[in-house]
Amino acid sequence: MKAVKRYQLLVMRVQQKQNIESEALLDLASEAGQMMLESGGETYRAESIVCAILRSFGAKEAESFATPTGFMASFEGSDRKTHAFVRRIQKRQMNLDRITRLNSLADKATEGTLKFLDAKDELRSIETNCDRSLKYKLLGAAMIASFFCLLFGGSIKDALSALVTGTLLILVIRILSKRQVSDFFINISGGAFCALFILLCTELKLCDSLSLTFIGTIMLMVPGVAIVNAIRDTIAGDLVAGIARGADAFISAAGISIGSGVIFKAYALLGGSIL
Amino acid sequence: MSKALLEIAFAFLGTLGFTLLFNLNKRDFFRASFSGALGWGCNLLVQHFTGSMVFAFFVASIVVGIYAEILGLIHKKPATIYIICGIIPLVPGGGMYTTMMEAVKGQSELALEQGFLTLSLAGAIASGLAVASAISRLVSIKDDKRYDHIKKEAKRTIKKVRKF
Repeated sequence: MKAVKRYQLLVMRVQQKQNIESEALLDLASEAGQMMLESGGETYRAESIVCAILRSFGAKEAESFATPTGFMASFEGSDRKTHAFVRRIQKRQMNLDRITRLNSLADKATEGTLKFLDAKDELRSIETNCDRSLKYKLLGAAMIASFFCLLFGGSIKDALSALVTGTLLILVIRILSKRQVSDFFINISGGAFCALFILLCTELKLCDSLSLTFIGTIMLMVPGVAIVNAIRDTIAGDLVAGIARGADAFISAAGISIGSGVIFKAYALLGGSIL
Repeated sequence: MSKALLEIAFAFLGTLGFTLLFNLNKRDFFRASFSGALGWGCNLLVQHFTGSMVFAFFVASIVVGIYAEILGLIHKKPATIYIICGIIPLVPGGGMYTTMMEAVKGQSELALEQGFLTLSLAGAIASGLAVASAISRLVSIKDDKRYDHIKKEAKRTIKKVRKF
């Protein structure tokens, strides 16, 4: 009992010293958690950084619960009231630099080397200048498609046509996601585009092996990492997150299959031969 | 031998592409790409000696996991960023394509077989990474500095209260 009172006293001291309002703390923590989930961080990481930020800036009894599609947290602020927030996660795009910087922000906060106002500024900077321009993404896509095609045993010609297809694929995905089309439809049209373009290349004798070129290009879209992460989450005990990620991976794999399958089937019906 | 070296180089360059697409920090480019090459190299080596694909993937992902944990400790970054890049050459994208292709052709048995292989490869990678993180947790001796400032503040407050 005595220990609890002492702890409460010291928490109040810390808060009075930095003069942190619960509302501002709530804003900071919820934005950090949301950004972490939107850039593809694991759910346990989002939970732990939210709790770390809340606790190190003086909240008591901070708890949070995250799934890939949203998260909630509650804490007892300096005003002795319980605050809670819920955030919905709409878009998810992998951004490893953002994960790293958010993680180090939470680390600094728990070590006590970060002032509250600095943390706010840092979060602002993570939000705005943590994304590369399109040309780097296109370069990355070109490298992925061509080198994975070579890795799986394709020839130089295959790699070159995979390079072109991969670069165009990223552009197609980008245009569609700017129009706010659903992810499922983006996957269908991405798969269909790849199949169509590579069939065209094979018809024009620009590539030797249809399947190798296709596998190399489709590395850009297939949810291989998502499936592995789903199993990892489930093993680690985040059952809800694991199942949600698994469903996500399954749906996007199905979308790609539907898109490319329709094109290949139509091609076969028109008299061409696959493989 | 030269074919294996070439494949490792391709794995390195392909992973480098993913570090660009996933927007990794410039300083981590080569570390992360090296983990991709390391994973593929281990996979080739184990597959050469044992002939089992699933086992090779399992060993390779343990190695990638340990490499990532060590780098994460050294550079004070989450190990996940190296893990995600490291497993990319291993993740069964080709298996998924083959599964889908057989399904489209209407050969359900072949599709099921391929689907099973794909799932077991993904499971092997995931359990390899789980083993690696368990090992790193058993070995690591971390100085826990978390919430130190609050503890210090508490001690000071308690002293003042006593004086009063």
